[in-house]
Amino acid sequence: MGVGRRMKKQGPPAPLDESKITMLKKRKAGGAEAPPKPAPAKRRRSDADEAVSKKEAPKKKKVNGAASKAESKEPKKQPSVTKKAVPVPMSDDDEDMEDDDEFGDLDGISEGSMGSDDEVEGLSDLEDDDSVVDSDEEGHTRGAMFSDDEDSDAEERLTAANIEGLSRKLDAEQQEEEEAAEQEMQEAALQTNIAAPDVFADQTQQGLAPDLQLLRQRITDTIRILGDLKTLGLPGKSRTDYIDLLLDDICTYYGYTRFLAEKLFNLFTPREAFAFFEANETPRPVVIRTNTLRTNRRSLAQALINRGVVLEPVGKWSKVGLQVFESPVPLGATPEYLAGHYILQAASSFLPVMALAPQPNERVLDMASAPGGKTTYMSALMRNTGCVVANDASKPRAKGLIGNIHRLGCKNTIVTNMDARTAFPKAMGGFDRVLLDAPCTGTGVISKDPGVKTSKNERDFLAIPHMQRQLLLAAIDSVDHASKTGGYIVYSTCSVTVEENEAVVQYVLRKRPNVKIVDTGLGGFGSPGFLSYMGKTFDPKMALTRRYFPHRENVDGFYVCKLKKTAVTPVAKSDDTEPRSKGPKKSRSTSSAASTDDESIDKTPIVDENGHAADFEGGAFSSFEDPEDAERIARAERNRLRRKGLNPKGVLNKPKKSKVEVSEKANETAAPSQEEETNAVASKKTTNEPKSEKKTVAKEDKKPVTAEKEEKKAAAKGKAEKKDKKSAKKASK
Amino acid sequence: MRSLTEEETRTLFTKLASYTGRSLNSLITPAEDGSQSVFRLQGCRVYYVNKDIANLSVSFPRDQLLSAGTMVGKFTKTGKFRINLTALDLLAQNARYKVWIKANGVMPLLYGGSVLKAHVARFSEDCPENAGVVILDSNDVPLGFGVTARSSAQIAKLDPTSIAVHRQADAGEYLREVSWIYLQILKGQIANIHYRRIRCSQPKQIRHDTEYYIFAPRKRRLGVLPDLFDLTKVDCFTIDSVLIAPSVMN
Repeated sequence: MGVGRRMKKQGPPAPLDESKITMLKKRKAGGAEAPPKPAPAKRRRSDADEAVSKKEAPKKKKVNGAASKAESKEPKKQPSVTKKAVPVPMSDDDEDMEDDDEFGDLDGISEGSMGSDDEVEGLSDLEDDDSVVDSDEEGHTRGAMFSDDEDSDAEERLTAANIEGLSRKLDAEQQEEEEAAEQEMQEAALQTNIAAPDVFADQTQQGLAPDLQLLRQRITDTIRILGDLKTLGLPGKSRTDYIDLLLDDICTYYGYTRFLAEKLFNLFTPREAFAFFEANETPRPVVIRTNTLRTNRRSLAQALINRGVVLEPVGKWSKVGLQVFESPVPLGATPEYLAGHYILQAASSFLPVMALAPQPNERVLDMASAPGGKTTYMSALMRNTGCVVANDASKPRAKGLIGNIHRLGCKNTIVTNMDARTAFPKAMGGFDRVLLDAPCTGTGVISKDPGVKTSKNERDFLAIPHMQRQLLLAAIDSVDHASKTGGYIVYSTCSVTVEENEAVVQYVLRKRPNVKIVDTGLGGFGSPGFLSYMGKTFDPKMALTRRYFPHRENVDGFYVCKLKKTAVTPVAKSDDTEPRSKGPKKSRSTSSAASTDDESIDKTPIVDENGHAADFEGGAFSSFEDPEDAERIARAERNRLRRKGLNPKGVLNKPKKSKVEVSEKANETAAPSQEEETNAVASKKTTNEPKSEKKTVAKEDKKPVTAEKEEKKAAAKGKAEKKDKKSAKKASK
Repeated sequence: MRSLTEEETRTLFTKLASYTGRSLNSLITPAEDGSQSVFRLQGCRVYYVNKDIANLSVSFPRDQLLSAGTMVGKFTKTGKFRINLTALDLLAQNARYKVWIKANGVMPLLYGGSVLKAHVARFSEDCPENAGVVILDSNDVPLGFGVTARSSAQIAKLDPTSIAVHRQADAGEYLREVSWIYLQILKGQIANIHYRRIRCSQPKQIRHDTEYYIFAPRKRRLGVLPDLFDLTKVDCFTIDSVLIAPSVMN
């Protein structure tokens, strides 16, 4: 700047000639390493600047504009090249170091451009020199310096004779620059080539005990290379090679099995996967949930603070969670804990219950409930009204659940120990809401249980999702679609793999067209579920489901999906049953609750009953064939005897001729009867035999039956209670 | 699950009345909103449960129904009734006699000790000897129940170390009376351990800030462990074949 000012005061200079310009340029070139390329950069900059006006002389524009157009490609490229190039020589150091270098480089670039700014301003000053600007006020003068009139004056002189020479100069410089850039690029490539083989070379040198520092370095290197394989990758190596290397390193460094590492790696970009694996090594914060049945968060926090516990609310998304940073007392044994004022509960396990949002006076099912964090939360949300059925398949764990339920004072619970897959629509259905926090592989809670890293194999990833599907189907079948307040199912797992989450939901969406995904109501917290994964496309509404990752939300890896059941499960869908089988199903819906949904369906059973009668009289069926019937009856009898062990050889003694025929049909009838025995899913009821029909009817009419029972019991109870009172009075006397 | 017989009802109510007195009636009369709670027997255990829930629970097979509502206690083989800690809520709401204890008496009580005279902050008036009494802390949080050793008039004359209330149940049982070992690791130290009957064995590596269920072999006596204790100063300890060594943790 000083230069310009000095020159200004020298009075009106001679017209700008070529020699002067070259001199100036040279000086500038000496100043900055990258000579004229900054000029266009400055040009753009000053364009942006307010000081630069719009009235630039067209001729000057021609000159500089031409250069800038040509060069603009160059400098744009160059910084990016240097950026990539520079880290490479440091490939032996930490990534941090590299980062620093990168930034340093960036800084350098920006500095350079700044420097060029100055210089260009100097240039423009020089150019301005023609116009006499001698004001003492520097601010003003400068403003004037950039004024267009002066520029145009200068340029007019510039253009006429010198333009050719000028442009030649510029061209030459441009060429130089290009060459330099190319050279740099080559160097960069060379250097990466040095780094990249290092990545693979180390692998071979790797001895018995891997150097963790080196390993980590190589992981970061590989991830970086994978980020820009085209420029950084070795020519002979494909992406697969790098990923292979990376996975091997991850397995060694973190101790995963290759299978699991690959599975988890595929969920993310390499960089994010690395963050995920890192997050699995650090514990999640300790979180407690206030039991609103006994206290409120403020007084609990106060009580704990008095004991020296350092805590604060877990986040805006929860009104009952407290995050504990430090505790001088054992949090699981304070008097407050024992009095049931709080429970130790991971932040992630708040989410499914919040999504379920159970309302007071509802009937809610928790299919896999131990150790009771979610169950008691539901109970608290329902304010001890309605009914929560808490089931767990493991008896010892269910015992712990009972302890928690009593400690927290949940009085509306029933604890059962059943296999939820088979038990649930069968033992009790008609729930307003069902929470299925399914047993899973635990890939979201590796920080809690690192055993997952090695203990899970391919078989687990087949068997567990299979069980989850069964459970979710059972959950859906247990829900009362006609519930006025509910009809919701929440499916959650503490796993991050797609097999256990989206794939399971997709499966039940196909199997049960009467459910749909609805918003979880958890707001923006968490990331949306996958819409497609490895070539599989999922329901577009899958984006409404929520995923939680340790490295993003700092909670355990978790998945939450909320489903709404809109209608009865269509019976024909699940089995090869005749339309007749709808009969009992429909009658159930009529008997259960009268809602808008049912009204439309109500008409059908009447039609069905009529049709049912008509069918036999000669509608769809042609006519009865007595001999065939007789054969069937005989066979059924034989089967019966055989099954009872009365005549084990009943079938074998049968003449071969008819046996072939018969056996075909035997399959037909045998299959349904078996089903009847297992009777796994309510929807799978076959009504081939009147027996089963009765069964189902009986089941559907459970409500009235229980009502009767209630009455009876009420009567009996009344008596008992009178006695109770008497004895109580006695006792009190 | 069934309602109690007359005999059972009498036994149960006699027991409850020793804590609640006349207000026992409030347990068996319907609430204002029409809901009513009833006593039901499942196995030998007695549950106090909302009637609607009791009716729902008949759907479940008896051997698979583990609990419904609040467990009050259980009948012994000889027909006596043992009231359980879980009935504390029930008793606290309807208690006839109460004793409030000072902060220094809370932990001894939760560790299973009796209430000493020095711990007593306040007594219900006219409390006779050998009466059932609910123990609360200074914030009115029920912590347990027991039987008075002396009448409230006599207690004033006792020396500070003599027992005022014999403990029958305390909230510490939630930790002591569970059938597994429960370990909670906080900041690299065992913050918390609870145990009782130990089921099976599976040695585990201890991790930071994690909860563990640790099981020891069935039908083998455990080493002697204090009831409920802070393990931060212990180097390592063994529960039969299970070794839990904090050396891993720091």
